Amino acid sequence: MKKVVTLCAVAAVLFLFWGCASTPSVSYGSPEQVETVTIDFGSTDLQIIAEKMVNSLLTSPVLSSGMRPVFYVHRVQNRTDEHIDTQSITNRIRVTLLQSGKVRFSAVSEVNDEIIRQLEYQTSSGIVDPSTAKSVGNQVGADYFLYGELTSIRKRAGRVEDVYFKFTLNLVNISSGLIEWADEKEIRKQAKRPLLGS
Amino acid sequence: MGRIDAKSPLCLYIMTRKIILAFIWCTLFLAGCASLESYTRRAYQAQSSLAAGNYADALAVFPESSARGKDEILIRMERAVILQAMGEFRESAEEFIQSSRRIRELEDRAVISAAKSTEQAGTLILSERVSTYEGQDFEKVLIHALNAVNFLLLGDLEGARVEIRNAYRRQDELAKTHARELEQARKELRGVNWQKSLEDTDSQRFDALKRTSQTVQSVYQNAFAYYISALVYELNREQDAAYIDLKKAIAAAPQSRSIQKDLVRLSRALNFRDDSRLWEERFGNIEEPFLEGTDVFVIVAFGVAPVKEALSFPFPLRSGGLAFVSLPVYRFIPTPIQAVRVSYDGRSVETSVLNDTDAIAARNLMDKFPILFAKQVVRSYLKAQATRGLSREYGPLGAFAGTLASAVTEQADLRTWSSLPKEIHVARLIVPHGVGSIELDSAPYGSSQSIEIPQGTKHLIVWSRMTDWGMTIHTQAY
Repeated sequence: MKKVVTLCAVAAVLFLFWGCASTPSVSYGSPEQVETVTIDFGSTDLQIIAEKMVNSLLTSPVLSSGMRPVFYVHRVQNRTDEHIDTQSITNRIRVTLLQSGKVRFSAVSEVNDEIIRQLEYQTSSGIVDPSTAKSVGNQVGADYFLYGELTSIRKRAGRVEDVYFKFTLNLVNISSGLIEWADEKEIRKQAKRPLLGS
Repeated sequence: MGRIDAKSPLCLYIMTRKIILAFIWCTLFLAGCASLESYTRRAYQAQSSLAAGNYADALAVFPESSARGKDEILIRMERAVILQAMGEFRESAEEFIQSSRRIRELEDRAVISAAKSTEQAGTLILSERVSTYEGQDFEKVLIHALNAVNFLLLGDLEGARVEIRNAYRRQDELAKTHARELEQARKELRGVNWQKSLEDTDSQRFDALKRTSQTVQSVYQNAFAYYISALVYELNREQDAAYIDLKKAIAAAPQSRSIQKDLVRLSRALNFRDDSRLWEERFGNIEEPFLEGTDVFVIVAFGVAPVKEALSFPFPLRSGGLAFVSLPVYRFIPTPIQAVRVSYDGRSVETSVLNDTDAIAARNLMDKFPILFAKQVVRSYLKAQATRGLSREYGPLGAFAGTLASAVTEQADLRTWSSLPKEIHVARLIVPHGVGSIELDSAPYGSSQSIEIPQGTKHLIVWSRMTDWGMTIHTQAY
C-alpha cells in the first residue's frame, strides 16, 4: 500500500516536469580521444583499423623495396548491419600512406571523369595557353589496387550486447593478378545496459 | 521521537490524502496534456489524402517539426512511408534510420530508469496513451524491410544489405523478448479470462480480429522482409544467403508462386539436387523459371493500414466493485484493389501478398492482449483504491468524482502507423531480352501503366504505390 502511494505521488510530480526542454551543450574534444558513446562503429574503431593496416603495409615487401609503387583504392565493402561510410577508413589509410612517402596513389578510380574533362578543356577549348596545357597519354598506370571488406556479428542477450567487427584489406598486383599482401583487424566491443539511469 | 504506526488512523489518513492528491494531479495533467491530442484524427486526415493519392497533403499532416516528444518514432515512420510513396527515397531512408535509432535508444535505457519508471507509473495510473510510442514489434521489423526497398531504389546495394541484416536480427530478438513478456503476463493473469471479457463486450469485432490474426503464422516471420532479404543477397551475389531466406519466406507465404520459382531456380543453381527435387515435387510444374532475360522484381503497395478503436467495458475487480476498461481493437479499411497483374507480350503474372498489414497487426495485438490486460488489472486496482479514498473523504460525491475520473482517464492507446499500406504484393518474373516494357494493372478497376525496361538491364526493381486514383511507379535498373 505504501509503495502504491509513493509511486502515485512520485509519478504525479515527475509528470508535471516531464517534457521540459533543455539545450544540448557543445564542446571541442581531441579527435584521438577514445570514443565510447555507443557500441556502434565509431571514430576510435576507424583509427585503430587504419593504424593497423598502415603499419602492416609499410613493413610489407611491396613498400619496403623503395620503388614507390602506384596504388589505387578499389572499394571496401560494408557487410555490417550499420550504415558505415567505409571510404572514411580508406581515406585515412591513403593519407597516412602518402605521408610516409613510400607509395603514390592514382586518382583515376575516383575522379577520372573530371581528369578527362579537364584534359579536353586544356587541349581542345582554345582557352588555355598551349604551352601550359597538359597533353593526353601521360597518366601513370597503377601497379596495385586495394580492396577489402568490413564485416560484423552482433549478439544481444539480456542486458549485454556484443559486437565483433572484422576489417580485411588486400593488395592486388595488377600485372600478375596475385594478392601480394593482406591483413585483417578484429575489434570486439561489449555494452551492458545499466541497472540504474536517468 | 516515536514512530507512527503504519496502521494507525493518522497514517491511513495521510496515505489516503496522498493517493487522492496524486490522482487529482494526474487527472489534471491528463486533461491539459497536449500529447493526448487525438492521433486518430491526424491519422484519418493522412489516410484520406493517401487514398486520394495526395501525398503532399498526407505529409503535411506530419511535418518534420512535429517529430518530437512521445510520438516522435510514430511520426517519423509515417513520414518515411509517405516520402517513399512520393519517390523521395533518400529522405524516407533518413526518417526510417532516425526512427530505428530512437527505438534502440529507448530499448537501451537503464533497466530502472527515472524516465521509464515515470512513464510506466503513468501507464499504470492513467492509461497506455501517456507512454512514449516505441513501435509495435511488427513495425520494428517493417522499418528495416521497407528501408531496404529505399536503398534498392537508390541503387545502393550495400545500404539495402545493412537493412535486411537488421530486419533479420530484429525478428529474432523481438520474438525472444515477446516470449518473456507473455510468460510474465500469463502469470499475472492466472484465473482472469480476458478473452471472454472482450467477446462478451463486442463478439463481432473481437471475432473479426481473431479471424484476421489467424491468417499469419507469426509476427516474427515476415514473408516480405525475408523475400526482400533474399533479393538483396542475390543482387550482392550471395546466393547461399539468399537461398536460406527464400526457405524462410516460403514458410511464411507458401502460396507465393514467385518464391516457389526462386527456390527451384536457386536450388538448381547451387547444385542442391535433393532440395530442387523436393521443391519441384511440392510445387508441381514451375513454368519457365530458367528463361534468359531481365529479372523483374515488382513490389506493389496499396490500401491503408487498419485503424484502432477503443473497446470499453466494465470489468469486475477481485476486491469487489467494477473498473472501467478500455482496450484497442482494429477496424480494417477495405480497398477496391483485389489483385495486381504484371504482363508482357500477352503473358501475365499475378502478384501475391507478402505483407498483409491487417493480419500482422491483428496478430500482433492478439499476442499483446494478455500484456495489456495484465497492466489494465493493476491500473483498475489503483484507480479503485483512489476512488475509495475519495469516497471516504468526501462521501457519495467523492465516490462519484472518483468513478468519473476513472472512466475519463481510462483511454485506450489508439496510436497506430496509419500510412502503412494495407497490403504489399510481390511478383518476380524473367522478361525475355528484346521485350522493351511491361504493363502493371490493378483489378477490378483496371488502372494500368507501362514500365520501360532499359536495354541491357539484368535486374529491374519496380516499386509502385497504388491508390484509389491511380499509381506511382519508380524503378531502378541493375
